[in-house]
Amino acid sequence: MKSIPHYLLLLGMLVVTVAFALVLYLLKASLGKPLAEPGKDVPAESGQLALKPAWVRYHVHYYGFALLFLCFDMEMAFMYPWAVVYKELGMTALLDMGVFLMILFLGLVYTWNQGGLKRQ
Amino acid sequence: MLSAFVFGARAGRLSSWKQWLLKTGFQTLKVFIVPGEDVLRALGLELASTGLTIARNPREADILLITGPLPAGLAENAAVIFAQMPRPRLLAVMGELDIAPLPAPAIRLPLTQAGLLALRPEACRLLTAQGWAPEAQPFAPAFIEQVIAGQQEKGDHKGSGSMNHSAMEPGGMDMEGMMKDLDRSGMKPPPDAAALPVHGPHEHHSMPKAADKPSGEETTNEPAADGQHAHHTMPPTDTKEPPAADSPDPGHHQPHAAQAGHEHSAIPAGPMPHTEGMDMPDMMGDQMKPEAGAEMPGMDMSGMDMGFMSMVEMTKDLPRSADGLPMEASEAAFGPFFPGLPGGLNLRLHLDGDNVTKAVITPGQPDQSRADRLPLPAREFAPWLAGLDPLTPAAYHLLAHRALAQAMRLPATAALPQLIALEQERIASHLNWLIDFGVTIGHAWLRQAAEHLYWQLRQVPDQPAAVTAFVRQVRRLPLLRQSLTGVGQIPAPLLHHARGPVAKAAGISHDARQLDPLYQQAGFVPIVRAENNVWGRLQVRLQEMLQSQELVHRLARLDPVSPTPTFPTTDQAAAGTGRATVETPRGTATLEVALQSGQVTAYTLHAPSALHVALVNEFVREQELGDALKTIASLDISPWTITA
Amino acid sequence: MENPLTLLVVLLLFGGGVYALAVLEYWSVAGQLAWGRPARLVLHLLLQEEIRPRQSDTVLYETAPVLFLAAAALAAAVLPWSADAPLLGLATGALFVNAAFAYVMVAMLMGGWAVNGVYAMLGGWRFLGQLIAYSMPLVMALTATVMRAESMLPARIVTSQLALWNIVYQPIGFGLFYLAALALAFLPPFDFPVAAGELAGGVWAEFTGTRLLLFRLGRLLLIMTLALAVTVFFLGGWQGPWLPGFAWTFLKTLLVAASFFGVGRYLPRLRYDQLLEWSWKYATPAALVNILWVGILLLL
Repeated sequence: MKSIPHYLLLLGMLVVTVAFALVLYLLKASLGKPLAEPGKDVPAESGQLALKPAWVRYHVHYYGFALLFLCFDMEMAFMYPWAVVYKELGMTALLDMGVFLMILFLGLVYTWNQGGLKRQ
Repeated sequence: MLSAFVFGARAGRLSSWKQWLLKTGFQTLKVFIVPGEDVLRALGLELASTGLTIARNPREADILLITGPLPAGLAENAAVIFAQMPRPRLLAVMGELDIAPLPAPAIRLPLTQAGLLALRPEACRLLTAQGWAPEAQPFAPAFIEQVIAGQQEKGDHKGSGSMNHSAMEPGGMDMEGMMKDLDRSGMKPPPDAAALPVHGPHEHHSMPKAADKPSGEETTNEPAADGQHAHHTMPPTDTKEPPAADSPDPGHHQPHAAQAGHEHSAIPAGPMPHTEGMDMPDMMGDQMKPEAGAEMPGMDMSGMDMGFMSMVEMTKDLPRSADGLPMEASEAAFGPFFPGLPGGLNLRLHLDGDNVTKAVITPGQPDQSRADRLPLPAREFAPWLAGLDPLTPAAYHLLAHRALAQAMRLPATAALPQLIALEQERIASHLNWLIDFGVTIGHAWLRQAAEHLYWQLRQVPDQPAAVTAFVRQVRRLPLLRQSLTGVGQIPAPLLHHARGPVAKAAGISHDARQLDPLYQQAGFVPIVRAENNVWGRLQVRLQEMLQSQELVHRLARLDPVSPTPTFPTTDQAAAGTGRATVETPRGTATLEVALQSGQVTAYTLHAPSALHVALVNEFVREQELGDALKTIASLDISPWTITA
Repeated sequence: MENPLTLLVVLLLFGGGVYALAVLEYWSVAGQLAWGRPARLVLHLLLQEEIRPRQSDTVLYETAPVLFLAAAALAAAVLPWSADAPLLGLATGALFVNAAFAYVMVAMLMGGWAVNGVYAMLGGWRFLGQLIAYSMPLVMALTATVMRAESMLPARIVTSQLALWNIVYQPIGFGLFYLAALALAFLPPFDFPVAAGELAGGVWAEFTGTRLLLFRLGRLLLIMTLALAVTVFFLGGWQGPWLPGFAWTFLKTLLVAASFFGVGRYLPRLRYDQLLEWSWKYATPAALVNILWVGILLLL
C-alpha cells in the first residue's frame, strides 16, 4: 500500500492540530481561571435563565430528505471508482452506470411525486 | 472606580504581559446594548462612528451598555446578561437610570452622542488598567441565586438532570412519554427541571398528563396553566390526543414542591397495559448523558416484570406532532434582548424540533417610577407620554397634546410643525424597523443600507431622492420577494386585530389621518395592498415612507392655520375628559385623559401593539422558526406600549 | 514532499492566505481593510474568560472545536499548490477531501448538542439538514471532474485541465460545487447554524475564549480549503502564464474566497428546508445531468 506514508502524515497532522489546540489552552490557562458566578454558566437565552436541559428527542423535519440522501450516498460510493475507469471503458461504462442512475433518479422522482421532498 | 470594577475584572494579578494583552486585545470592543439597538437609534445615538461593534450574544460582549428605559423586569434580565458575559467586562450606563440588580456602573455617560463617543476610550482605559484585579468578586444577585437554588433543590430531590420536561402543551406537543406510563404504574412523575424564568407569568410547571388513568390513582397531574393560556385550541392538524388530556383545569396550579419524593403507590390492578415492564433504562439510554448521571427517578423496577415493549405500544397514547410522530418539545425565550427583534419584547416560543407550535408574548411590568408621577400638571403630560415609547416619541407627544386640547375644550387646532414631525418620525421609524428586519432575515446589505439612510435622514431630514432610490433598490433585491411571500399570513377571523401597516397590507384601509382636515387638504389617501404576508407589510412600509416624504412637502406648502398651540399655563381650573387619535407608525393609537383642576389624573392608552401581541399569541403556530421570527418582526411591535 | 523549501513557501502562503481571508471577511462587512484586526481579535479571545456551560457534555464539548479545525486542515493537506508541490499526493485525494469535509458537520453537530442549550441544539440539527442538502451536489460535481481526469489524484485533476479549465468544460458542475461550498462553510445566505438574527449565535453561542478561537480559525481555514478546492478542481489549479504555480494558486484561491464573502450580502437567508427542497429537486438532477454531460463529452 503505497499510501501508508500519506496516511501516517495525515495522522501526524491531526496530532499536530490537537497539540496546537493544547498549546493554546495552556496559554489560556496561564492567564487565570474563570471566576465562578451563579448564572454565568447557564446557556445564554437572551436575558432569561434557561435552566431546563435542552436534550430532548428532537423532531427533525427533514427525514424524508435524509432517507433519499442515504440512497444517493450509497450510489456515490459506487460512482467514485467508476469515474476513475470511465474513459477507458467507454460506452459500456456510461450505459451501466446510466441504468443505475436512472433507477435512482426514478426513485427521486417518485419521492418528489409522493410529497416526500418537503418539510415534514 | 475600583469598587465598581470588582464585578467586571478577572481574578488575578495584573502583570505587564497581561497588560499588553489587554491593550492590544481591547482595541476592538463589542457592546451589548440593553434594551436594544432600535432604542439606541431612536434616541439619536450612532454607534458606528464610535468604532464599537455590536455583540449579538452576551458571550461575545465586553461592554454592557444600558440606555433607554429599563423597567424592573428588564433590569433583572439585564442582570442575567451581565452575569453571562465573560470577564473582563464593563457596565456602562447612559443617563440617569435605576438599574437595581446590576452593580454600580463602571462608566456613567450622558445620554448624548458625545457621551457615546467617549465610551470607547474610557472603556479601553478602564479595561487596560483593571482587566485583572486581585479583589475581583463574583456577581451574585439574589434573584439568580434563588432561581438556581430552587432548581437544584428540585433536582436533588428527584435526581434527574437529564430528563427533559418541556412545558406542557394543552393542545399539543409531547411530554416525556415515559412519564405517562410511569403515571399509570402509580409512580410519581419525575420532577420537571422547570426553568423558573425571571418573570412570574411564565411559570410552566410541566407535568405529564396521565392518560387513561385507572380510577384508583390519586395522582392528579394537571398542567399548571398560567393565566395567559386562555386558548386551548388545537392546531388544525391531525394530532391525536389522549382523551384525558383534553381539559386541563386552568385553575389548578400544582406546585412541584408538593410532590416531593417518589411515592410508590401500589400498582393498581385494572386494565393496565404492561407498561411497567418497559425497558426504561435502555430506551432512555441514548438520551441519558453520562455526566448528568442521574438515573430515572422513581424507576424502581426491581420488583417488576420486564416484558417486551414495542415502540408502538409505548408511544400509543402520546400527543403527536403534525406528522404523527411523538417527539419532545422544548421551549425557549427569544427575548427580551434578541438581535433583530424589538428590544424589550418578552417572547417565548414553544418549539417542536424547529417548528414553532406557539408563541407567547408577555407584556412587561409597567415602570413604577413613571406610573407614580401621576397626577401631572397638564403641560408636563405631553412630554411624559412621549417618554413612554422611546421609539416614536413625537407621535405620542402629538396624541397627548390633542387629547388635552380636547379635554380643555380648546378649539381643534392643527399644528403643521407637529404633523411634519410626525411624518418624519414615520419615515425614521420604518427605517429603524427595516434595520432590525435586515438582521432577522440575515440580509447584510439591507441592514447596512437602511442604517446609512437612517443616519442620513437624521442629519438632513429632507432627502427625497435618497429615499426613493433606496426604496427602489429594496424592491429589486433578488429572492427577497420569494422568501417573504407566503410567510406570516394572518387568518381572516383575526384580521380585526390588525392595525397600521399590518392591516393595510391585508387590505384594510383604515387610517386616522383620513379624518384630519390638514391631511385631507394635502390630499392624503391611505395605502392599501392585498398581500397579507410579510412581503406585503414590507411593501406597505416602504410605500408609506415615500408617501410621508410627499406629505411633508405638501403639508409644508399649506398655509399654516395657526402657530403651535401652547397650553394656557394659568388655567388651574381646567377639568374634563378628552379623547384623541393619532396614526402612529405602528397603527392607530387612542388616548383618553381625565383632567381635574389642571392636572391629569388618569389616562387610558390604546396602543396598536397591544392588539398585535394578542394576534401573535393566537396565530403564530406551526411555522418554522425563521418564518415565525420574520412574522413577529414584521408586526413591528413596540414593547413599551404594552404593559400588564 | 519533495522540497522542504517549497513546503515552507506553501505553508506560509496558506497561513498568509488564512489571515488575508480574515481581513477580507471584515472588508466585505465594513468596507475597510483592517490589517491588524484579526491579530487583535485573536488576542481578545485569548484574554476572555472561558465559560463552560453547566451540564454540558464534556467529551463532545471539548472535541468539537478541535475536530472542526482538524477537518479543515486535513482537507487542505491533499490539495496541491503547484506541479512541484503536490503536498500529499493521495491517490484517492478527491474522495478524501469529501470525507474530511464530512467531519465539519460532525463537529458542528457535536458543538450543538454538547452545549445543552436550545439555540445551539437548533443550530446543530439545522446544520445536519444543510449537509443533506449540499452533500450530493458537492460529491457529484467532484465526481465529474474525476471522470475527466481518470484519477482521483488532485494533481492529475489539475493537469487534466490543461486544455480547458473545468469551469468552462462543466459549468453546471462548477456552479453546483460553488454553492455547495458556500453551504458547507455556512456563509451567508446559508448561515443557519450560527445565525445572529435567528439563533443569536447558535452553535457558537456558548463557546468562549480559545474554543471559539479554534472554531473561528477553523472556519477561516475551511473557507480557504474550499476556495483552494474550487481552484484545484475547476479553475486549473496552478496553471497560468508568467507567475510560478503556487502564486497562481494563491491568487485564484483568494479571488474565489473574496467572492464567497461578497455573494451573500445581497441575498436573504432562506429557510433551510427551502434549501433542501431546491437541492433535491433541482440541484441533484442538475448534478446528474452534469455527469451525463461530461460522460458524453468524454466519449466524443
